[in-house]
Amino acid sequence: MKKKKIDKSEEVVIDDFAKDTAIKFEHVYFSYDDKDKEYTLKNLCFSIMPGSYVALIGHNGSGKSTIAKLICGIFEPFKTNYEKSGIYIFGEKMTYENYNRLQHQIGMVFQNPDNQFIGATVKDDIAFGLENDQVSQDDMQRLVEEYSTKVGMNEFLDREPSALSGGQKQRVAIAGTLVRFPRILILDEATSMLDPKGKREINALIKEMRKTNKDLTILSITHDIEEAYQADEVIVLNKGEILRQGKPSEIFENSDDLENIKLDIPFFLKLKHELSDLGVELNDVDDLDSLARELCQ
Amino acid sequence: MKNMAMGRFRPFNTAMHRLDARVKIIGLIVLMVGVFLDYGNVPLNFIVYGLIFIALTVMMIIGKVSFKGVLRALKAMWLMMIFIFIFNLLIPTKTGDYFQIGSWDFKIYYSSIYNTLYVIFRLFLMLMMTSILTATTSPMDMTFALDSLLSPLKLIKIPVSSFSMILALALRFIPTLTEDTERLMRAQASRGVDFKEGKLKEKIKSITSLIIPLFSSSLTRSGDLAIAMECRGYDPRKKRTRFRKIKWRIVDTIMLLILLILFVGFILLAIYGKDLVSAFLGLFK
Repeated sequence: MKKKKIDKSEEVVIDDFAKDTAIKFEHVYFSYDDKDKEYTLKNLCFSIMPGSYVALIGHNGSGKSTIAKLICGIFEPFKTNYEKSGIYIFGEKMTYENYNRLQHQIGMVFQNPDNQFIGATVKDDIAFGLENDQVSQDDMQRLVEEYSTKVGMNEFLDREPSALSGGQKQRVAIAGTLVRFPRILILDEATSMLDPKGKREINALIKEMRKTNKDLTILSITHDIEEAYQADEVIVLNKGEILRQGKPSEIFENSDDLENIKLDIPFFLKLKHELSDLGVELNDVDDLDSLARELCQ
Repeated sequence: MKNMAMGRFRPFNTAMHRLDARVKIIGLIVLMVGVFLDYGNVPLNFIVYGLIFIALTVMMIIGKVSFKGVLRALKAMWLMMIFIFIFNLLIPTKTGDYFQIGSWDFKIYYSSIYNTLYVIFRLFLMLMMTSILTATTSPMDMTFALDSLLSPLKLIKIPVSSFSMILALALRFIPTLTEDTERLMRAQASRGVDFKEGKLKEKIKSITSLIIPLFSSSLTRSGDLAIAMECRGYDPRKKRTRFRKIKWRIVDTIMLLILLILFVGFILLAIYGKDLVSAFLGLFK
C-alpha cells in the first residue's frame, strides 16, 4: 500500500453492519504472491468487539501474523466481487484513502524486542511514535514519563537497548505503542522470545492494562495456549481459515478438532480431564493455580 | 567485541556530551580538513598532526571515550597499511632523497615512507574523531544535527530527513549487529569453523560462513524494523517534532568560533606554511 498524506477533511463512512465491532474481517482473501493460487488467507470472516481481549492461535504459517499486518494496513487484502469484502476498523472500511488515519488507532508489538527498538535509549524509543505524531516537546516529556511509569521502566529512561533484558525491551515497546493512545493493541507473539520471567512480566502488564483501560481492544497472536486461555475469546486459525471461534472454555473443553490439527490444550485442562477420567471432578478451574487450590480442598 | 567502542554511543553527562551535535559534526569536518591538507613541509605536517592528536586526546578524556576501541580498530587495519606501504614504494614518480638496502638495486624514497606515515596518522586521527562523535552523540541527536545542517538541501528536494534517519538507525544497530556476529561466530565455531587458525583461503571460507547468515539476519531485521516504524506512524515525507530539548548555548557559539578560526588557520597554513617555515628557519641563520 502506498503512503498517502492525511486529509483532515476526509469523510468518515461507518458501515452499519460493522459499526459495533472494533475489527471486522469480511470475506478477506490474501496471498503474498499475486500469481499464487494458494491463498494465505481464504474467505476470512470474523469480528472482534471493542474492549475485548482476543487470542489468535494456530500453527506456524497459518496466517496469524498476516492478519496482524492486514489490520495495520501494511498489506492490502485482495479485491473480490463482493462489495462489502474487506477489513473494517470501528465500522470503517480500510481503504487506500483512509488507512493512514485508521493506522493511528492501532498499535502493534512484535515478537523480537530488538527489531522494534528504534531509539538510542528507552526514552527516545517511547517518544519515537510521538515525534511522528508531531506532539509538542512538553507533552512528549510528560507522556514519556507517564507511560514509562505505567510499564515500570521509569528508572531506566537513559538505558540503551543492549543494557536491557528481553522483557524490559518488550515493556518499552508496549509503552511506545500505548503512548500513542491506540484503541486496538496487537501483540504479535510478543512473549515468544522471552524467558519465563519476561513472559510473566508481560502477562501481568496486559492484565494491568485491561484493568485500567477497559476500552482497549487487545488481539494477542500467540503459541502459548495457557496465555490464550486467559483471553475473553479465542480464534483458532488453520491453513488460512478459521477453524473455531469462541470462549476459551468452549474451545479447549471440546478439543477434538484441535487435536486433529495437532494443537495442544492447556496443561491444567489436560490434568483436569485425566483426573476426571479417574473420577475426580473439579469445577471452577481456569488455570494451574486454581486447579492446585481445588485439589488441596 | 562487546566492549568495542567504535561507533557506539556512551550515555554519560560530560561537557562533550552536552555540546550541541551540530557543533560536533562541524568540528569533525574542520578537523578532517586539517588532517587531510598537505602543509608542504614534512615537519610541519607532523606538527599539525601532533597538535590535532593532543586536542583529540583531551576531548576523549573529557568525553570518557575509550582509547582501546580506536587502537583495536587500527590493529585490524594492519594488512591495509602494509599494502599502502608497498604501493607507495612501487609508485614510479619519486623525487628527493632515497636510500638502498645493501647491494639491492631498489631505491627506497623517504617520501614513500612519509606518505605511508601520513596515511597511518590520518587514519588514526580519523578513527579518534569518529569515536568521539559517535560515543558522545546519541543517534537521535545525530539525526537532528544532520537534518538541521543539511536542511538547505531540502530546497532542491533532497530527502535529507530520510538520509539522517538511515544514519541514525545504522548507528543504533551497530551494537546489535556486533552481538549477532558474536553469536554467529560461536555457532559456527561449535560446528568446527576456525576463524583464527589456518591458511588465508581457509580463513576466507570461514568468513563466508559468517557473512551469509549475518546478511540474512540483517535483512530480516531491517524488514521487521521498517514494519515497526510504519506501525508507529513513521512517514519519511511527514514533518516530525523532536523529543530531546537541545538549546544552543553560549559555549556552543564559542566552540563554533574556535572551529571557524581553526578552519581559516588550516587553510592559511596550507597556503603559506612552506614560506612560514622558511622564514622561521631564516631567523636562525
